Amino acid sequence: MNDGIMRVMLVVGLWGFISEVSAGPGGDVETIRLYFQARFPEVPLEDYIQGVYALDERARAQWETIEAFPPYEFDIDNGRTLFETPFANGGGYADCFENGGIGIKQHYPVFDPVSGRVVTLPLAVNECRHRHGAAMLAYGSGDLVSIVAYMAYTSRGLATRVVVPGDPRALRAYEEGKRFFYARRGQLNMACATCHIANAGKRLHSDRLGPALGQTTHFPAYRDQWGGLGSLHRRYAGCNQQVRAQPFALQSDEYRHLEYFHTYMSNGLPLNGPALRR
Amino acid sequence: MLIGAVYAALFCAECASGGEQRLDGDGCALPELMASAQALQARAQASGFAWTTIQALLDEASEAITQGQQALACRHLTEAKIHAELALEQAEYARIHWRLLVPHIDEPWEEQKR
Repeated sequence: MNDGIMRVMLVVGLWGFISEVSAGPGGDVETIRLYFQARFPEVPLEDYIQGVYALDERARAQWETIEAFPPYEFDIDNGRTLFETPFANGGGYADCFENGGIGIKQHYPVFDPVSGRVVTLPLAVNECRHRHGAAMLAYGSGDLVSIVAYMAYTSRGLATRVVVPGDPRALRAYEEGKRFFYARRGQLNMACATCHIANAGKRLHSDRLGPALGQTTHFPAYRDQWGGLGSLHRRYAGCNQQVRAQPFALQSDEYRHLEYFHTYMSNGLPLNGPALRR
Repeated sequence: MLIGAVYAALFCAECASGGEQRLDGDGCALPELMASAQALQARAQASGFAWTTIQALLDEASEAITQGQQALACRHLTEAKIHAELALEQAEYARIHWRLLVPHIDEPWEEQKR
């Protein structure tokens, strides 16, 4: 039997064997990696951090040309300035994070055992501001996203290391995120997985659908469609609206839990954000 | 949405037959229809599976009422109810069947690589 037929059978087989037994977080990562390995055997695992450009050579060439002079460079500089500017009380962002907030994004989202919540980096930045008496910032774009972009930049090259501890609350949050990812919603009856697992690499109108694996490594992202830098949750809301599902608030439980699962899927892959996307 | 609109136009039970002729609202029971559509929308939202189309239709119905177009409002509300009911069905389907989209493998990653 030739390789092509074997590959098709393997991919079909992956969808055929549905089990009622949850694989658990570790098994989920293994499953998703194996799935994409079977779908795109020519794509090395580490290349998934390039998103859709790992699957589309022509688009990749154009994208690499633009990335030579990245449009988000000013946002990183602005983020650094904001990050290093002390609050009115004399404190700073560095006081709120390990290692002064440098090179830590690969650990986020984290589960906070004290509050029992999943904490994303933008939420942690805003809570830091609140602790220092500064006003909270908007989550979708603007200064907060620039600060996170700078922090992401300091984590470039560091492998994603999200932890789901044995705490039942953490496991529940992870499972809720997983359910969200695989549940069909909206008038178009599509799940995150419909585009980014089952149809990854295929065309939707003029765009190619990116794989779920590696998607979180390059956020915040500068999207041509936005004309600027935006957060992962802004993208989630946009995806929901595209399938005509009512989006949730940015940093809602739903999106934080989704980010927890979504990012965990990319564990081991190096961060490369911020990055340019269409 | 088109199917829903056609359905609403043809089978709008709460508008009764000849909805266009009932511009005065008799038989359409607009307040009750609005209340039931809003209640279904609240349930869809609580389920986490509300569609963007539902609120849009409710808003269009309110606008139609403001402009005195009761029959049009009736159609929008009926369609909103259908969308909300479908969203609730979708929520129930997702609750039971969400795993159907999960890729599944029986062999560990390292074994598959070999």
